Amino acid sequence: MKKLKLLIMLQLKNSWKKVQNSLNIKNKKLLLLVQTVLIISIFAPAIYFSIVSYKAFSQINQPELIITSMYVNAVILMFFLGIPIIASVFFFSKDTKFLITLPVTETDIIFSKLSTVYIFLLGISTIFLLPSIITYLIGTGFSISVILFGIIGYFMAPLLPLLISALIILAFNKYIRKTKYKNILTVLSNIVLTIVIIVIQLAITQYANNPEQIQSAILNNESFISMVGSSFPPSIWLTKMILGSVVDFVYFMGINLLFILTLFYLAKTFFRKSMMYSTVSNVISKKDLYFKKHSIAYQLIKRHILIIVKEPTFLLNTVLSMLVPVILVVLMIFSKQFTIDLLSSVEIKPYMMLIVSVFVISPSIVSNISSTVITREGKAFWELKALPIDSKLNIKYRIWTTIAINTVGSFILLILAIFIFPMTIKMTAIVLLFTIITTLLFATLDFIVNIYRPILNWTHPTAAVKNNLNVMIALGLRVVAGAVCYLVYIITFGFINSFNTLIIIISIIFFILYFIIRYQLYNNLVVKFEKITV
Amino acid sequence: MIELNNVTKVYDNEKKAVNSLDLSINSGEIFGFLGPNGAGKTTTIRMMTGILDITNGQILIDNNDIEKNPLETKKCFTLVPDHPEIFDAISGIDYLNFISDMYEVDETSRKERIEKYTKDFGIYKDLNQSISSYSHGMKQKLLITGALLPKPKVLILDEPLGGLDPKSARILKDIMKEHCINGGTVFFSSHVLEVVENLCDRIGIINEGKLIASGTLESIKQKSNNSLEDIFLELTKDEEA
Repeated sequence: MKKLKLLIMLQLKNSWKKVQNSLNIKNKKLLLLVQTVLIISIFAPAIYFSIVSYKAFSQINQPELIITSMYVNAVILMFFLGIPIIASVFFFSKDTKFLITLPVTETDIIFSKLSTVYIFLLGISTIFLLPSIITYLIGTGFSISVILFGIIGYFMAPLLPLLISALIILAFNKYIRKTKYKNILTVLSNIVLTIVIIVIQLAITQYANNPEQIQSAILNNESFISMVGSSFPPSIWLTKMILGSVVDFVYFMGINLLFILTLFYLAKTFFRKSMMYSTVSNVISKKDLYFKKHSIAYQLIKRHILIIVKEPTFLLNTVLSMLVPVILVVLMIFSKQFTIDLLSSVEIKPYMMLIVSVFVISPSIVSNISSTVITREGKAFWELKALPIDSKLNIKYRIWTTIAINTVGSFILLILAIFIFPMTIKMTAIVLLFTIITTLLFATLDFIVNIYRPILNWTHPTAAVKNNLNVMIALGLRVVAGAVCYLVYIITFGFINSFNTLIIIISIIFFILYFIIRYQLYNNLVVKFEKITV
Repeated sequence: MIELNNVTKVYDNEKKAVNSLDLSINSGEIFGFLGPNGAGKTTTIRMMTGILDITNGQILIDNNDIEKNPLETKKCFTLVPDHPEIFDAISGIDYLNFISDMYEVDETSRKERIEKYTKDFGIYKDLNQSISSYSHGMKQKLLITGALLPKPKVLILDEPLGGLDPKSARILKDIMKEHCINGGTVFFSSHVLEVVENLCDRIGIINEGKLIASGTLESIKQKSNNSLEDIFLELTKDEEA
């Protein structure tokens, strides 16, 4: 037990240090400030939603449904987040080889690793479930049974999704341990998670705006929450347990205990079948070798695309930033918050050009991948420096890669836009022009940001994308570009009465800006690029 | 073939990693670059290959200035680094084709050379595997194969024998000799004094960024009757100790 405790402490310390390092802030006071701001920014909306939901459920005299709904939401999130985390902790963790050599049992290693996942999921439970329990507690008066069972429920909440995820991972370990499936799994589970988050967000917004809908949804048993709640009995058991039902307490504890025992029983199998494979190399390929000659452009663009595709963090970052606008629009259409009729309305019609333009260029706006195109290469950056490649070509093909990726994203959105929006050929042509110019401008601009701030000695890919200040600077530049557009709108107000003309004028301005920036990059910043060292 | 004239590298405006280094290496020579850890060997190699910029001085390879004419200079040499930090998510064959395309090696030659070297090093059957699954030694062999593909005039190797098994080390030594017989030049750094002693035409010893001895093994030994190991230890000993 002492060894298990030590292992758990080691794993937790390691995880916490990784979180701190990922913020990439060396000043301790600043780190504390950022952490506090982050915690507040996460909790503030969570508390707000709990209060709004509590009030809504109280109107139908069922305030306890706040616990049911929040528990279901938390479980869904924990389940989808748990799968990639567990896969990562068990199959791709670098400390496995070290832990195997220690004089500790296999079960201890597994449970110590699961403990870090538990703590992470408890964080989700803290954001979603805890405010709802506290809100319920305050709203209904402080009763000892609610406090006691509330605490038990809060701490037990991550167990079920954790254990279910672990068992799924165990069942599919044969596939998950292969690198290519790992990448697909990570990306897919995160896409599903994003969809789930957006669905929850839309549902909460809808319910908060329209309390009567909750009543009819519950009565008709049609709502997402009641549907999942009724098909996921632990949520009902937890709610009734907090309300003081001993029978439901037994049910809730019993199901958790059952899963713990199952995992305990399967722990050794898990270890043998899964963890040990982390030391085994990839699947042997039987493909024939190829010796085909390609151009330098092909090889360099392929290299930069593969750097994204082969690393799940980079791939996810890129794919999600492309997909979020699509997912959002599709879900809004399904939830009937956004209809074609709405687009044809007199109020919206004049702004159609603006809406479509922003929608189609969103990959370039959201996906600032060029701001990390040098950083992403990490310690392998030296490779191209030692090869006989002209620095200007080296820069050019990095930017082309970003342009290619963003163009694919914008092209998909343009096709989607043609189907969704009532677009004319003239509109399509203008949007296309605006998209091409904006993509060129932002890809070049972001690359300059990366030249000034190349971070190559990162140890985890997350540090190369999400926590890189370059991304924030790149987003800041987009705000500036937005301000330029607004300024043009204000200046030309009265002279130009069509958004078509406005978009064309902005395109021309962006095109001039692109040429100035491009000139600066290829004439004055090449030396700076050449001086970048690992 | 290789000229280093008064080369200096200063980090952060204060730390002199390489201090006024002068070297001249002729065609057909194997030059061994010796020095303790942190002496400035890798920094010198990084400056020679354009990975690091030079604070002062000039580096010429086949009469091309690495700073003024980097593209032409880089066509003359290939590098095997000390730590194989490469983009390793691709397969071995992808990497070798990438290098071949960068140096414009035609399909027939690349096929012939890839098959020859990878079979010699025993990694041929692993070429379709992701490099990330390779051991340190296998990565080293892949990098050496990549460096040999364009048949460069100058082969620059930073600690090339670390991680190689005895058979592969022997093959590499034979390749280095053959490369010089065919008119090429080999510049390599090493800690293994025995290898340097047996393989090099000339050696240079660097300590704290300064070249403290240079010449043929015999000329260095003339000053003392001791072995290269004793000479090396004597020359590089910490004066403050």
